[in-house]
Amino acid sequence: MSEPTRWRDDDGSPPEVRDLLRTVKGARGSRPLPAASRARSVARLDRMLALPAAAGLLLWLKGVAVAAGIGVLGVAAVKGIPVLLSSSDTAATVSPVSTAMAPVMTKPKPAPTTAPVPSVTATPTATASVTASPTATAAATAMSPPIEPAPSTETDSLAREAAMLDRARALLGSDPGAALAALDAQAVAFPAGHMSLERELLSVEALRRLHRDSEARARGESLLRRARGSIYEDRVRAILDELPPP
Amino acid sequence: MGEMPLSLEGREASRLDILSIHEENADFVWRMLQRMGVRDADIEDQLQEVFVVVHQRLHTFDGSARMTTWLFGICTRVAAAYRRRAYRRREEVVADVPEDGRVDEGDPEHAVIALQARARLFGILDLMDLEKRAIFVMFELDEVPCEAIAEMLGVPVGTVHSRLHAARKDFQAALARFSAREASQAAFRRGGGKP
Repeated sequence: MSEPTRWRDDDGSPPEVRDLLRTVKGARGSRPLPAASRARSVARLDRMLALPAAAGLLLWLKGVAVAAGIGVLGVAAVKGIPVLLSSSDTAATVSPVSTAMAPVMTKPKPAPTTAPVPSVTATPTATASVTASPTATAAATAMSPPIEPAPSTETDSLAREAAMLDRARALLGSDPGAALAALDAQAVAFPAGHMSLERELLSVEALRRLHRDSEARARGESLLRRARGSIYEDRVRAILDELPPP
Repeated sequence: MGEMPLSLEGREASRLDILSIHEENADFVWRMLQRMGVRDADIEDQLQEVFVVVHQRLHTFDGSARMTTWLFGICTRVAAAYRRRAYRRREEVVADVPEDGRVDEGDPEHAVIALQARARLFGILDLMDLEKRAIFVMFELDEVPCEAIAEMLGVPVGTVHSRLHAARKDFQAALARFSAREASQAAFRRGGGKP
């Protein structure tokens, strides 16, 4: 198929257009990306990619703050602020809030010195760590009666999503049919959940164990396309490799 | 990216993906946005916009099409949104006229004519459909061969020929609209600014 002639070189092209294009000969419609713009773009991209980690940290800090706040309110509710104010151990200059916090800070129960890095992950174990840090847990147990920190709706939802996956995973070895049913239930409960890749991976594995090979292969290959470049890719391939050839 | 894992390993994989896509295709996106009429002052922002979309939608890219084909679609949508925003702000949407054209410095009159012609050309291009504009600019101004355009867009060469044909028709229609607008503005000026 031959290359069309460019309008400015084609005597058969519309005269007004031809003249215009000939007059602007040498004008380019685009120029290459300058190195400085490329570097700025990469830097902006890097900042954007770092954002999820920062968001996770903020979520964790929010959880700690909520837990501490509820702890203070719990003490106030149980012991009563007047009691705290009249306590002989309390220095006159110390505010009730500081007093309420004091037992938490001085509790001999060992608490890790380093707070865990908050991680909102696809794995249930790590997800559970979002709900409360050891410090927050210590704060909660220091109170009498114990008051559980109220997790945010998002964290709560994430924890439930993870718990349902955990149950399905536990069933996988002994009863893959029940595991598959549990995974289907999880899919209904969290159609746009954060762990859909993990869920699908477990479903493919359950189907393989049930010897529903063609279904396992179809869903596995579909998952492979979605999971390309992620940590799931190798795991999906490993399951697919175990299936008998189609 | 809603369905990508957010674990450290997942984030790292995603990060590498997006950075390698950027490394290989940023120049393509940059040029395509210019071809679609994004002004020089805004092009870095729009480039970023494209890669934000790439980051969010990467899980939907199944590799059945070329990456540049996919990016071309994203560029078109980003440039269309940019154009709509520009209209809403009642800003001039005419792209900066590229300055790399050779101007005969020894002939000021010719230089002025060439600059006016370029402003006119880019005014016409701004009235075109974005995808057709991109094809037209690639072939007529950037002198990219049809074969290379076909490879970029992941379509057969014959499809590029037919798209070029449609783009040329669109250019002629845009030229007619642009000329009518020029005539009406000239009449307005002649009438002392009264309709």
